[in-house]
Amino acid sequence: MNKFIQTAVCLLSFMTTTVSCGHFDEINTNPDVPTQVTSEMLAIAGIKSLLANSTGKSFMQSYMACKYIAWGELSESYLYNGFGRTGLGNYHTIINMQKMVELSDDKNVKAYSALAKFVKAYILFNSTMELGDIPCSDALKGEEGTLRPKYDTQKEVMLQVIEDLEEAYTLFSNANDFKGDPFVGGKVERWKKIVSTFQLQVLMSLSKKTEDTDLKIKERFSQIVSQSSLMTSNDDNFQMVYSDKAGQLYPFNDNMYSKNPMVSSFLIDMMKETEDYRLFYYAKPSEAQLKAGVAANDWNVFIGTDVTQDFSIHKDAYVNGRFSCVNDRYNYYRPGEPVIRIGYAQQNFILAEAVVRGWIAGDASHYYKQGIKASMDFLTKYTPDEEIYHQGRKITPYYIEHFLEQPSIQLTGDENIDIEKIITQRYIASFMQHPWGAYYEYRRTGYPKFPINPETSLNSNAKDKIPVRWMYPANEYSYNKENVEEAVKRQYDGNDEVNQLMWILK
Amino acid sequence: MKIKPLLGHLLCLKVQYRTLNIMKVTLFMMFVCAFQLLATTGNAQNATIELPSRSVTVETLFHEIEKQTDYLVVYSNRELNVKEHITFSKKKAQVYELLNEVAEKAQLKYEHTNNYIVFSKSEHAKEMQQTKRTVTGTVKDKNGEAIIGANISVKGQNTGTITDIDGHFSLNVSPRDVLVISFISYKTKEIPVSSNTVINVVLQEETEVLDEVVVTALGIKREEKALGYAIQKVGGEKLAAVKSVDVGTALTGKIAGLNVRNSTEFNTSPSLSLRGESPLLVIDGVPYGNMSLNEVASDDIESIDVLKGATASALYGARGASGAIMVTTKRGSEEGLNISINSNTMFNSGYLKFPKVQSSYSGGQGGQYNPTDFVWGDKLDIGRTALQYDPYTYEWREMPLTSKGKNNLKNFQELGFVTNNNISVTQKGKYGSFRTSLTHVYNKGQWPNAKLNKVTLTTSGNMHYKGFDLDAGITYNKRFSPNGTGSGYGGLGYIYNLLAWSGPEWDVRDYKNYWRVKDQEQNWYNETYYNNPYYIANEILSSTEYDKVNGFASGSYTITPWLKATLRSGLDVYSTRKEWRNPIGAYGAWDKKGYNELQTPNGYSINTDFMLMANHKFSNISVDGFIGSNIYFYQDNTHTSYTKNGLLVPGFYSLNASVDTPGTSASISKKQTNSLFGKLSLAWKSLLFLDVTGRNDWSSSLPSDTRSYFYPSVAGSVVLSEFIPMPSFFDFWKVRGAWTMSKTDTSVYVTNNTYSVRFII
Repeated sequence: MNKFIQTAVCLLSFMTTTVSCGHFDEINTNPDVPTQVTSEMLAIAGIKSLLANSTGKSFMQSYMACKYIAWGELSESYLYNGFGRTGLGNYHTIINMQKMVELSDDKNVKAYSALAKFVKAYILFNSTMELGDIPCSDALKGEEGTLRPKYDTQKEVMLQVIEDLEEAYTLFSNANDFKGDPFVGGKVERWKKIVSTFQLQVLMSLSKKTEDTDLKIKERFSQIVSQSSLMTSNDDNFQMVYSDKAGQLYPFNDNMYSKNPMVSSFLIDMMKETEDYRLFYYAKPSEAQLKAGVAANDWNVFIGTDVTQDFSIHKDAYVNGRFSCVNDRYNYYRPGEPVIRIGYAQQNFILAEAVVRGWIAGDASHYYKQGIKASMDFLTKYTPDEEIYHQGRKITPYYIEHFLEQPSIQLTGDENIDIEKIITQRYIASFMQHPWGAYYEYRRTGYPKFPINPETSLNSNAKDKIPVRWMYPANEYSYNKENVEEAVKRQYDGNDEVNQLMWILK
Repeated sequence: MKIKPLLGHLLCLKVQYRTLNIMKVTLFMMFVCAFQLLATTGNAQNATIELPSRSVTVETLFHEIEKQTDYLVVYSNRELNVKEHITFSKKKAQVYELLNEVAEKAQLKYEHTNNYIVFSKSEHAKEMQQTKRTVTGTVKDKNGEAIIGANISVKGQNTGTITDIDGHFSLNVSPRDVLVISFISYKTKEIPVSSNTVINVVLQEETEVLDEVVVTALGIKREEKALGYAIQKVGGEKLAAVKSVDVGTALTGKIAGLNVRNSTEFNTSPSLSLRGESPLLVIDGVPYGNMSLNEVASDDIESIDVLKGATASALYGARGASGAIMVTTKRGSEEGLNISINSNTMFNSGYLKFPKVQSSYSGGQGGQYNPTDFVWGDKLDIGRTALQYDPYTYEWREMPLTSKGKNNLKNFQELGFVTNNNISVTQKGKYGSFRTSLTHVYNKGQWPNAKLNKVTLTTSGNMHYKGFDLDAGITYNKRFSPNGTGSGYGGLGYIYNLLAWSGPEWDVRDYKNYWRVKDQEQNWYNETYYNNPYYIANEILSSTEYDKVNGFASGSYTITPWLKATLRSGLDVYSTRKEWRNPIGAYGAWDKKGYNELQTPNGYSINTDFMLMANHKFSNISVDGFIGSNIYFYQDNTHTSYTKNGLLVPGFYSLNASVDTPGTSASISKKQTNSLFGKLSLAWKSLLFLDVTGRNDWSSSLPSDTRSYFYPSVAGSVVLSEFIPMPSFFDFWKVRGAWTMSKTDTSVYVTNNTYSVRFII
């Protein structure tokens, strides 16, 4: 009996010790991951997410869709107008921006609030340009319990974007320079210019909706031009600068697909016509022509590829060297060139178009030529002066002057022809820049006239057209079915399809 | 397309040495044979012999006869029991007198012809054997209780009876008959009637019969038929017959519901899935956190019991929800010292089915030769030439297009084999046993530089003194492999490189010299995506060095005959060093400019159980139960460092060689689970069984307000063959059923709300 009591006591004490779980919370806390960070870190993350580019083949996808290049490895769907679904994953960044403002100290709260609004506007603008209606006012409220946000109309979203940008500009005007920005340097003066140029871009992309009284496109546009500070040179560009360091190399540098891009005949013919030296900076002489004895600085050394042809024809040309790859600087020069998202050249083209449309007063031709010059300056600035990068056809200030005087590029005074010329030059200036920028311009204006071949087009419901949007992501149908279906119904009659016109295009 | 390695030539050397126990020389005497021949020094049967004493065994008598005379005695073991003692009337007598006494006692007759004395059945004896008479008796168990309803039958005949309420029986038999007494859950006994008229039988319970007892959860032995859940056992000798690198392979096809998927890749363990899920591995009753079957040597396994389904492991908690594989390691089984040496070598005879690819067209695209990763090139063997790479002169020149590489994969492979050597020493005495065993496995894979060395050293022992038992063991495992690359998809996979991405126009044997410039440029014709296979094998390395120690100690004390307490604790500690490197000029690897990465995962887990077990039998109902508590804790750390932007000096593979500052990261994860569990088993007369279990866990990975969770299970079985009359060919019919609730907790850190921070440059 004694022994029994002893063992029972032992057992009970053992059991009570196992029940004490006070230190369990400590065990379950990951020491390598923080629960609190600083505003600076969040600012870096936010800005980086806007500027970052994917590498390798993914980097080239948008340029395939914009008919700049064909691809030698295998048939890519973007080459043949095959659009799919896109995602809404970048909303995470907006949540980080909210936290950034919450964690900010008083000195920088204005700057961080401005930055947060800018980032939010940028992301929402891009998402709605891709899809149409998206969640906006109801979004980012997960912590409060709203797990299924409703979709706002595109007009509401655009209005929100415009208003946010105006507030951002005002806040930046009253803020101090802030820390945590290795890309722009935290300088509010530069940020103001970035915000205002972006505003111009947003407003111009709404060019079909000038009659809308809520948006007041023309008024806002002219107000910005007259009152806000705008970019004055390439130094004000909102761009990602690369360098010769691990993790900072140019996105297409030295990867396994380096020989695959084949510059399109669409672009090459355009540039040959005006004897645009930028062609020598963009493309590489084709091996077949060099072998045949053509000089490297001859205009005929480039062989363009008709991007709409059947892939087997591409393949044949690719195998035999009868194509022009992209310039060696994109492949082997480690810092490459910066990739611009919001830039000075682009700003000038927008202003030129606005003058032509009658939104603002001014000299369209002046802005137009400034834009071309800005693009050429950019190239000379970031290209090392070596033969292999320009084959001796160097862009000099003298050449730029001479080029700008050519009769073929002059504006005529006719609105449609001028817009076409402006957009075409904007297209040429956007080679390997402004990812998807050229596509949106084509979608809005129809220029430059992309070649379309119904026989090879993967856009099955409209073989003679380029798709005008992407479809909503599949996980929205899984997690937020009612709201996405409602959005699709009111916009596209229930048909979530790539050829359906969104509000800004109607 | 399935590719499986064929087990080719099997060279099995099995040598066993046993030291003889000199105390038992009489073992020599035991031969199972029908007849025995003994020499004699012939004289007439009037010869006189002297016996060592008056009371001797018949065997001794015959021995003396043959020693002291010329006679040879012949008899049948079945008719004459030579071990029987006979007290003779006198010590020194004539042979015939002594033989008469034997004959009368055994009811045999003997004949004397030449020098042979032959014993055989006498007419009288034969007559005696025909007569039937009534034999009565009582059947009791070891506690003196009468066994009601025990079966008494006559061997080889259809007659029989059962015992009555007092255990009595009565049967009409002849002396030649053999009675077979049997009862469920008792050992069947056979008793020859011979001259007896009253036979009292004591039956022994059957729980000691080893092949019907299985080891269940927490290492408790139960009779197989008492269980309400599925369990299957494999003996150790079946697993030790053919030894591969991992014991898991030996389980293939042996257990219903256990699907073993053996990999053809080098140094890859088979994946075990029990009824579709991965089971828990338990070794000697301890559910280690970091052990796998790869670390248990085939020669150390006594048996493996596989518990299937959730009920069977309701007592291991969430970890055992998919069933458990319980390994019991060897202890000393025979008294005295035993040394065992085993050596086993297996040669690999290659793939069962080789992937077939064409050998008429070269690499390239659009019908033209081109050294890229497509194979749609020019036609071979018709005299065409193309600008190809010459691996001997390192130049490109016009060479004929021939299919000299059509056997590239086969030429690249080397002879693979596995040797498994083991020596073990066991000693067993009155108070316990001790065993130590050393195993070395060397596996040469089919690819160049594919080698694996594995060493397992085990020491274990047990002891018992009065009511106290102690069982403990410790095992050390070391595994080293210099290169694991070459498997799978990607720029580093041999099969893809040799068969899918390059054509048959180059011969792999020409590329054995894989340096163009040592440590800087590889001797290869393509510069985008893949590499010279010999270069991959020898220079693009991922090496692993793995050390693991696991040990356990288990003590139990019998407090009263029906109450026993057990405390068992197990610990495993592992530490790994993994290194990756590729030289400058490697494609499709980690960094074309050279790379070196070092990773050191290490950790440990501890599992401790305390249990109080009770069992008692109340007339027809036996009650068996226990309650216990368990604490399980594990911790895993990893530290990784890698070079960035290349190596400073070609051929210098070290973190110190990094061009930019090396990158680094670290992580740790920990978890603890506390549990209380209990089980109650009821059995009625070994015909009806009921098991009820319950377990409550407190887990650190759940938030504090939902930390504790409870889950029970019920299992029952009925031995229907005892209730419902069955035809005689139906030996046994049992119906069993189980209901289990199983709950699992979440992974570590899932409930944390955090930011992810990474270096930006």
